[in-house]
Amino acid sequence: MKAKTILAAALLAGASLFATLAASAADVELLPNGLMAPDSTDMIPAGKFKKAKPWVIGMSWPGVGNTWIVQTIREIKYAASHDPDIKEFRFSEANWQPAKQVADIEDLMAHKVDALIIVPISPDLVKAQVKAATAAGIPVILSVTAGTPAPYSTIAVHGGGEAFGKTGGEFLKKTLNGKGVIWVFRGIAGSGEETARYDGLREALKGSDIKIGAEVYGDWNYAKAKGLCENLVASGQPVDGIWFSGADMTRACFDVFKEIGKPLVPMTGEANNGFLRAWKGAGADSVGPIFTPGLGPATLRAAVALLKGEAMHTSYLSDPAPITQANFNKYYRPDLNDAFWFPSTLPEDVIKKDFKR
Amino acid sequence: MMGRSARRFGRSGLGYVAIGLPLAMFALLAAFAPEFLSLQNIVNVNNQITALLIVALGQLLVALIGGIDISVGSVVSLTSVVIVSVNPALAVPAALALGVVVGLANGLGVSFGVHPLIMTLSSMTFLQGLALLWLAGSGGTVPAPLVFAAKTSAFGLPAAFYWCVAAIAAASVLLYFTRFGLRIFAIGGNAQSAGLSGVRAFWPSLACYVLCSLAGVVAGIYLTGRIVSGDPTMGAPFSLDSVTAIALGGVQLSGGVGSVAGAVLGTITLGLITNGMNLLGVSPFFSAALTGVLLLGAISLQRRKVIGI
Repeated sequence: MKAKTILAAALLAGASLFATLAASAADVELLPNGLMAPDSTDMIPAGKFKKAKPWVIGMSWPGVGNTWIVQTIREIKYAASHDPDIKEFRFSEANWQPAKQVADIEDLMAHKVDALIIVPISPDLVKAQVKAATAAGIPVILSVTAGTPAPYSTIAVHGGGEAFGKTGGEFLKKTLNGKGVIWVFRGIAGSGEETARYDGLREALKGSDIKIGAEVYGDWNYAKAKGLCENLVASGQPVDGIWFSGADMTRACFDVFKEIGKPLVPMTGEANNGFLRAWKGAGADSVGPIFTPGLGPATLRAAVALLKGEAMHTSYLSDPAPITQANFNKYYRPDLNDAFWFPSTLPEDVIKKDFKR
Repeated sequence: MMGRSARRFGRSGLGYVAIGLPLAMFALLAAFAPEFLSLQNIVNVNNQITALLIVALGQLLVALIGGIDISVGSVVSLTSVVIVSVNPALAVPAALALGVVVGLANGLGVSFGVHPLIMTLSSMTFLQGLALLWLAGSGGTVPAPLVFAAKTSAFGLPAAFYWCVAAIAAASVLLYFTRFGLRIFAIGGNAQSAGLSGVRAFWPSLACYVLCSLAGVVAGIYLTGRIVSGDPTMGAPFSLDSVTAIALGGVQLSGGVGSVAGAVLGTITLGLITNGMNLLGVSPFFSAALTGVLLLGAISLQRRKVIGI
């Protein structure tokens, strides 16, 4: 009887502790509207990384090259500049060079940052530096593709990756009733995000009779993808649907099909205003997986929360429902230009100013 | 005596720009970036420039004979893939063998009349494709001895320092204390004159391309150990960065003019630009633009010299 009482008391205490931690973590919302949720039960206890403000926060970014990146950087810098507790936000960009990203991280550590945010070219490439930073007491927020481990990080923020590719794959499987031939337009060879998206597609196609008839690397680039799509259409290869690792390539194929006069097949896209405009204009059957630029500000909020001493989960995931025909009008903004990505954390007046058509 | 001294200085390509640029950058950063002179930052700069220095010294050899090797970056990448993909005991020998094969292919192609840019562009594309076929993304396990060799320290100095000293010493001995070095300068200065003096261009040229590829392999080994991961695109920037580094150091791409000191100074200049931009918090996009401006300025301010006539 006594043992049972002790056991019950221990369970009750454990449950209370868990509830306290969960409630505490729930207070830290990295992104609103269900865009991001904790992805692990492991917790960082309150106060572990608490530091006196104002803080110096460093960020290592992998490289630039498309409008999603431009908007994401804009959103992070906007968030940092509007947080009075951040004394300095030190941003470095590695131009997609692994050696430079490693050097950037070392330089940020030499600058004695209070917290470090890293969006790695690949987590494997920076694991030694992440380990060194955490060993030096610097909390490291690693933003990595969903389904990818984030070794030695304090907090991992996941998005895109397999979930992104899987959404497109599931759409094609459903639209084509599980059979047919598809073409696959991949991104930049060697990129971790690209490989993860492709893996997501393969996962979605498992158990179906959908075959990949052609597979090309369009580098997430409109011009390159257009040439590749022209070649594939000219080759006369059969196609029932096309999976894209990025929507600039989808827009290119929309244009090729339109110019040649070939009837459109179902094609996957993503949550970009230019793509939504093309989707609407072409009257296509498509889907827009969401890879929000809000991932950037989310990493900053995680860093700030740690420095404030709040309890946090060790992993967060952004995997929102995609844009479909059903919710299309909730997202599409005819008043904004093609470089705008959904959903944004920027205030409406800034969005209207920065992305005016 | 004065004339000989002036000729020697001229052959090195070193001038006010090559020497002054890194010194000016050093002084500016010391004045405006408080952390620049910290021991940690100096170690960082050393770590950061080591791979580029090794590649630049290889590129120097090829440039001295009037060639160019833009495949060396792909050699770095493929080396990284080989290191994490084959039996650890065979990793280094396999990578070195790879370097010899690539260098021979480049050297033979150039010797048989293919323009160096086209020959090494072909190799670069082929090797990059091979690296991506072999390893689609970064990862793999780097043999522990290589990680140790890249990251350890001895007598208070980081491993990178010893890699740099070894590379500089090897290049200096090769260029200034062997007949091979003399022949390279002679061929680069004027291959026809050298030929009339009994110096045939074929073997030294072939050796320069092999040594440049081997430099790429060594840099790849160091970088893979430093990053503790393989990566199929790791070396991509090194092809052009190594050319930029030697050009900043006064090496003339037409051949016959250049020095180990120039390659070292050019590499330090590039390293200080990157480190300085980070420490000063200047937009990273400005760094690339500044490098371009400095390169154009440095080249414009260097008087073209004709050697060997």
